[in-house]
Amino acid sequence: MANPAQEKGVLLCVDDEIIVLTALKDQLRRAFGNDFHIDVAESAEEALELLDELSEQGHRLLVIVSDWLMPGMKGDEFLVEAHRRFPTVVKIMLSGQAQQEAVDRAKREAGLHEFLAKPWNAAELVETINQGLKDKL
Amino acid sequence: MNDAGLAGRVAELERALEERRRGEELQRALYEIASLSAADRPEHEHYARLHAIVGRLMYAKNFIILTYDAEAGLIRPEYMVDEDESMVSEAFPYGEGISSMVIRTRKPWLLDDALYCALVDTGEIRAPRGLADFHSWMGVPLVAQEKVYGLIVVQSYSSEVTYTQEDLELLTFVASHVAAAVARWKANEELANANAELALSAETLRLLGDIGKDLTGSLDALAICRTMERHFAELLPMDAFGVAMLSPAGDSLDYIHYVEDGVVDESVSYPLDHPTSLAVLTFREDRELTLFNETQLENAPTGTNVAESAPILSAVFRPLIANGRRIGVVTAQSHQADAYDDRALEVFRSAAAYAAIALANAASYAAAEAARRQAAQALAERNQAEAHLVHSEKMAALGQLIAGVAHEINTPIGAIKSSGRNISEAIGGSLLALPALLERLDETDRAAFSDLVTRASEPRPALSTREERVVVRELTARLEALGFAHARHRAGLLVQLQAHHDLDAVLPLLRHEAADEVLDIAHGIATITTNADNINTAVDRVAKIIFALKSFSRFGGVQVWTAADLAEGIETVLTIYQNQIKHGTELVRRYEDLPRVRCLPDELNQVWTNLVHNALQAMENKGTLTVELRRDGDDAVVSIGDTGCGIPEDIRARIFDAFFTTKPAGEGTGLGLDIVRKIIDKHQGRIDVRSEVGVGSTFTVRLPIAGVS
Repeated sequence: MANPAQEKGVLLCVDDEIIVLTALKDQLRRAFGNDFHIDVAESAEEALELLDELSEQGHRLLVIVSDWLMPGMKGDEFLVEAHRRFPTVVKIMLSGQAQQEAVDRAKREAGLHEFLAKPWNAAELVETINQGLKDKL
Repeated sequence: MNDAGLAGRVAELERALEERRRGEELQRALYEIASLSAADRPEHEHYARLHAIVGRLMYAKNFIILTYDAEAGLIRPEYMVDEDESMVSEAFPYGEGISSMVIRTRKPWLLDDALYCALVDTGEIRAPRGLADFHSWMGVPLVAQEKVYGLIVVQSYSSEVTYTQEDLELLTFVASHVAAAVARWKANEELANANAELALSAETLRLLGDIGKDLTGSLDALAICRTMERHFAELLPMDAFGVAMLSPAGDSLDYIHYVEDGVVDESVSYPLDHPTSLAVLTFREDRELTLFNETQLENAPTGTNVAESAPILSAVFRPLIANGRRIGVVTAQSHQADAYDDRALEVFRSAAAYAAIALANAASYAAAEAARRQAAQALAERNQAEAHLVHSEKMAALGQLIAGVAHEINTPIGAIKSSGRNISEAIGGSLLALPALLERLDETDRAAFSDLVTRASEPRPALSTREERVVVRELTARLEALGFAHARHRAGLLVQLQAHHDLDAVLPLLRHEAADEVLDIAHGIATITTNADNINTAVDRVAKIIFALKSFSRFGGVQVWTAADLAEGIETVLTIYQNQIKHGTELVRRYEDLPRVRCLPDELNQVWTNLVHNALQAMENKGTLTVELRRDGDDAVVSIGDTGCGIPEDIRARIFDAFFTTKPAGEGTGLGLDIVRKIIDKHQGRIDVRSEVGVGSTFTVRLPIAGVS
């Protein structure tokens, strides 16, 4: 069994749209693949399970990029929960339609680093993630 | 035989002969008189014949027949032949002259100068000329059936002719027969008059019937006026004609038609307190006004712009009364004086009565027509207002969707943009590094690399992220077991490359010194394929949304009955609402295979939209939306159920009413379900609702598969 400590930090994308996840995964892998492990989840519920799993395995969670409008748990609620468990994680919301109060709540209660609107600009997303990581250091 | 005896005998014979001759003459006279009486009315020739007859019987150089009109108190000479040229054939009043005496006494008179003077002296008669101007005078009354018809007078101015008692008796005898003839004439005349009167009455009645038919056959006031004018012009001397109607406000009389000397005047209105208008006077006093007095007419305004060619000398005004109500006035006028006799007036009155009914009918019809037009207008306005509301409702529904749809489109566009960039970067990164890598691989490894890239490009089963993670985890474990470093990272790449199915085939590559580059470059090449697929998927999504929007925007366009797949329409609506459904709605579809249904697909889309929208709203997007599609006999049945708040019993019956809404003002027009019901009615279908408060509602729509019959 490999030492988890040797494993790279995890960058998690949450979106109910596979097409978004597919695009994001490749994009982020190319930008951060050498430094981070990129993981994806199709719902907030799945993401929370995954977070527990990763945490148990000793992985270091660094970044969460989450959609807002998803079946079941919405992005703001998920980020609040993730923040409760992993306060240091950089949290970014990437959504085509988010209620302002949800964004405000995420900023207030989940330490939201940034809200990005779909369709997103790849360079901007990478820059935002880098900026968030830098702020945490 | 002595001479005297002979002479006496001769004289006797001559007398007898004479008597016989006279008897025969008398006989002939009586026969002729009788034959005269067959005439319908006495003409001059009849009187002349009488004169000739009497002349044969006696000296009758001067012969007068007079008739007596008791009613008028006049004695009229009907026939007069007289030597005295001062005698005038003129009617004179019954009075105290000798003719009047004959009539009064009803007996024949034989007068000479002495008797005449004696009668004057006793006051029996009065002599206008003082003395008798005749020598001998006979006056015999014409009496038949106790009635005095007149008298016959014969007189002599010559002393050579003196009438005898015998002449008087003869004249009396002849007169009795003449009287019978006169009586018969009179009777004949009366009968003829009565017949003529009767014929006239019958003609009048027929005419009035025709007029009535003509008048009441029309419902147009002006046409009625013209018809009345035409008929009157045929029957009466008429140079002006007018009809004035009481104004709707009831305060004035408005001439709706006025023609004088063939010129139609513009309509004039007279207030009911107008001081000189004869029409107003007629109306106010509710009585017929007949005027033959020029000065009275001069004061009366009739037309304003008609320049009278000649003064109006006769006029009749009559109120128009229908159903006991005065509705106007009709007038006929003439340049002739005394133009309107009794019969003309009778015709005028009767026709006016018909006209009143016709005009009242026309007014009722006009009012009904106006009301109908008003109702039609109101209906059109209401339809327009309703159409406007329906449109608003549609726009509101559409507006609510737009934000969601924008998101629906932004998501695939974001993916497309991102995948596009991935592809171009993969080309830049991987393909450029490819030649250098290939140089480091031997033939076998190159073949393995080629296989790796080929397999990566094969169509991949859609794995959920969870499933993929399981596969990655298993592969990680295997790689770790084989002693590979970065097992998790490599496992992730290998799964992306679909290489985990045949791990052995790639093991040589994994053990190669350039293993990391091999995996990166192969993954880069695979990225091109996966991202291209991703773009296709995203484009399909956008296309589907655009199609749904297009179907949506067709609402209200031309409706065409087509055989359509109900599931398709429902899916279109669900696509539009996908965004809202995602908020927390579980969507359950239970579609049975159905034949195509003959329907107005766009209108049905509106039905599904309303029902889906209401369902989502009822459960605030959280719960289960169940859409069922099944067949029941000849019907297609669509039911859309929610697990929302339900519809309280007390309002369940009203939900299909127009303008019924439970939404706050401004959020709903309350037309949604009204429109739904109308559309389903149009399809001869049925909609029912089953609902329980706190449990949910299910709307079930039944549509005949064959379409409307």
